[in-house]
Amino acid sequence: MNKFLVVLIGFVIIFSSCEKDRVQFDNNFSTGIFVVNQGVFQSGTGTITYRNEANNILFNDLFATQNGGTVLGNIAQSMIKFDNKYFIAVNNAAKIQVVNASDFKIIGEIPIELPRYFATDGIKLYVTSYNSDFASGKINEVDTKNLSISASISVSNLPENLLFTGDKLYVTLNSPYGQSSQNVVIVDTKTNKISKSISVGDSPSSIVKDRNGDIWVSCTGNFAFEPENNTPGSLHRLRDDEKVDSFIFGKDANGIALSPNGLVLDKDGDRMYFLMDNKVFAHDITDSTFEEESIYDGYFYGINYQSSTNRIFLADAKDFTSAGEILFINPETNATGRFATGIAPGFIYFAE
Amino acid sequence: MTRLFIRYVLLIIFLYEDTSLAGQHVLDSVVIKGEKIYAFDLVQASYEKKDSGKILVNTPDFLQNIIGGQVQMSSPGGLHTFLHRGMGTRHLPILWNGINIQSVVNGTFDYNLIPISLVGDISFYSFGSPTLTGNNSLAGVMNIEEHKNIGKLQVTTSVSTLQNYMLGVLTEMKTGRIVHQIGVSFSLDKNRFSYRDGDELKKRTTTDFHNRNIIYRNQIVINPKNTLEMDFWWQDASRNIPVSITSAPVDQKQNDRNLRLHLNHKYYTSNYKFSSSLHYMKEGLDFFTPSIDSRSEVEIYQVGLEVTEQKNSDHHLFLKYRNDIAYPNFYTSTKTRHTINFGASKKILISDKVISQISLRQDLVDKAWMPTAASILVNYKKASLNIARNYNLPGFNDLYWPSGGNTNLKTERIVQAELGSKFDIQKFHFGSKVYFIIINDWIQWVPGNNGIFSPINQKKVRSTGLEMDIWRMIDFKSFKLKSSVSYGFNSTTALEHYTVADQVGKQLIYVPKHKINTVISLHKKEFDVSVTYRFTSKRYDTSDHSESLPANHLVDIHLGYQYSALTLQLNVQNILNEDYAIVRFFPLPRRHLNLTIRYTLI
Repeated sequence: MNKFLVVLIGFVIIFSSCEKDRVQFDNNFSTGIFVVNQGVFQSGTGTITYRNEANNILFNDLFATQNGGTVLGNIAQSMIKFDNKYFIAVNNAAKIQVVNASDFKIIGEIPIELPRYFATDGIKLYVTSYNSDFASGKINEVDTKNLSISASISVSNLPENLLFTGDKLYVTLNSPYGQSSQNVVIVDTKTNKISKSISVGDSPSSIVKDRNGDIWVSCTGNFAFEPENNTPGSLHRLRDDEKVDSFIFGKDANGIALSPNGLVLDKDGDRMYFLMDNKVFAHDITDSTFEEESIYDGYFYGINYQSSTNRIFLADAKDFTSAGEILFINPETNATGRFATGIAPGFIYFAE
Repeated sequence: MTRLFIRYVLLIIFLYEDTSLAGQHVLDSVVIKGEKIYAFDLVQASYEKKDSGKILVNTPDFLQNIIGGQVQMSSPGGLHTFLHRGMGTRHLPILWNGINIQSVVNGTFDYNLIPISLVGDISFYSFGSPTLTGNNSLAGVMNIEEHKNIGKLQVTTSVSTLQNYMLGVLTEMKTGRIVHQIGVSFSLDKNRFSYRDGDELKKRTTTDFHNRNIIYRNQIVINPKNTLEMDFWWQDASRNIPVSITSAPVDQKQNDRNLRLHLNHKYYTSNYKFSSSLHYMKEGLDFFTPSIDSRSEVEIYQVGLEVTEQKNSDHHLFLKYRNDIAYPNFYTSTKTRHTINFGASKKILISDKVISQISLRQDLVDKAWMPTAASILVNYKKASLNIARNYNLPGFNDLYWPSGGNTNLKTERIVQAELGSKFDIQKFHFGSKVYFIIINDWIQWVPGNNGIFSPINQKKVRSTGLEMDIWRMIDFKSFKLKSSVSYGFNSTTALEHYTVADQVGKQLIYVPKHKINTVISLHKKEFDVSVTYRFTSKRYDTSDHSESLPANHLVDIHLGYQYSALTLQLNVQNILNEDYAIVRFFPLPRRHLNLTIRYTLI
């Protein structure tokens, strides 16, 4: 046999055997990494990016792909998995889109004005929503069987993120523009009534619980007509439903009050990460002061933490009119990776 | 305002009363002259309302004939702007009696608001005279001109299958040496149409766009050396603004309330014309949603003096002062701008075939000297070369928008040139233009920390292009046939991008590279028929070119009949029933009809 041909065949065998063994992807979306892309306000649609790392699969616009080109709607805000379904809050389209978790096909929609974020304890599912006046909102319990809203609690100010602990649901109330809110409310989920209101800092936004059971709330500060009048952002620790620690942030190089965005805890529940001043900051629950420890530089629109892989995921929305990107970092090894998303990625969800 | 007006009239009469007929300038007839402003003396309009040969119902119908531009709108009845040669909305002034009526707050003007049945002509200049028409004249000029000799009465009415209705009445009266024109128009545009969503046809939200206008013009010949003109325009418009088809319905209402007054006195000597003018404008724009109550009020005052050499108009001097006062409810305080501009222009006859014009303008804005504007124009027979430099001021919203305004914005600076020519080959008529525009420090709104949008000087942009048109008229014994083809090519890209390097070299969003307009028309006695085909190539609507809007092909048919004082027109638009959009998720009407009737009493 021709020597050249033998060598050629040998190369083919060698390089084909280097191909990573893959498990055949069965188009089952019950697990994976989801990125909720907002899309362009008004003249766009939200999309869902799906990443399956085991199979090296990336779907951009998963919803349209699985549903014959149907668009999701304007400004996709967040999502959650519950009862083998995904519930996707599509804010400016005034609905929650419900899809089957395995094939991502449409099951139905729940009409609701300006939905924001979800929380579940595995038994109940709640979602916050704004009213169209952008000065008040609701905390809503979702009937996941009949795909409707079974109960709503009206609140003044803008309900944002939620945290379940036992029968208590903590909800941050952000400030309408030009006004001020400092409250986190506690909802008794047995009665769907507000049992307590805790004052923290201006415009409470994100909320998490650490390994000791303490609750941490980040506050963005109030935005004023003139930025130099913005009030400071802050971070607060709650214990037994009382504020026990507060960290007030300063000002940036231009004299504008610093404003944190997002708040996530690591797998051990003792170190948290958030975005502020074009950096990713870390803060240990044992720190008595804010150490200003930044672990990465850059402006990001969203943050989340994947416990199973010890990675921080950062959403880069770029100019909000072009495809975005997810950057993930292992804070211990500093290893990084990226994948492309749709326009304006804002929310990252891990279905595990 | 009334007292100011009376004082102005008395002052002029006191200063200039002269019944002598000794001067060379003699007015031997009393008509509304509608003199073209000096800036356009040597510049030919690239398109005028009368070129369309139709009674236009709205200004966007006029704009879509301009091969170098793109009408930009979301919905019928929503904001209609115009992007010419890849430049922004803010880069094209709209002149009314020599003053730019673009909003000083947001830099836009909604072309829907022009009561086209009450204006005499609209001219579009692809280059214009940027030095003489002011700052922000970076991509051509639109000029609204008053009516000339409409006769005694002109009534125009229009109705369409979109449930849009319009009535305009314009009348002219002469009393001695005074000519008056009075006009009223009322339109109600429901813009009711269906759009395709998958296999379904769905209905769009109606706009209920009411637009009411009153105009009054006069010209007083005080004596053969003195004329006084007044132009008054009152407008009140209200509408619903539809949201995209991906958004939940929400009430969005807009009110436009505008009052514009122009006074002009001209005094003629044997060699010079002195023109003094006063403009007063009050512009209100309100926008409401369940969460927004935005009310914007602006007052504009401008006084000006111009001196023009009479014989050949070969030199011209001007001095103007303009004061803009804005007090929207979303600013923390009243914002003002004081602008003084002065300049000169001279025509130089180089030979009997070559004439040149050099113009300079210097502005002082809020006590700061602005970049000097300058232009050179050379005309050789039917060819012309224009070169100019100019600048554009940030608008008030750019500077003072709550939480996002940027008072550190630099002015945009531009250099531009255009070479145009017209020539005939046998019986075919050709026109061509090549151009380039370079803008430094292009202002763009981008999201900053926490997603709050703010304007920055983002990039350096270059636009280059070519526009060509060919037309021919064939005169048969019993009818005339005219055919024309226009083609426009444009490349508008970022030469430098100060924040996102990988956007360099990419065509700017919403700017098509290719456009084609073709018209075939037949005219026989009282009848005329024409078919128009318009092609617009795909446009990117994401800055990284990951998404684009497809090309569209639109065909319109026009049928016209004119007999004596009566003109009837039937337009069938988008006869191919094309589903298309200029902005994604804002569908535009499929096939629809419009019937226009005009009665003119001479």
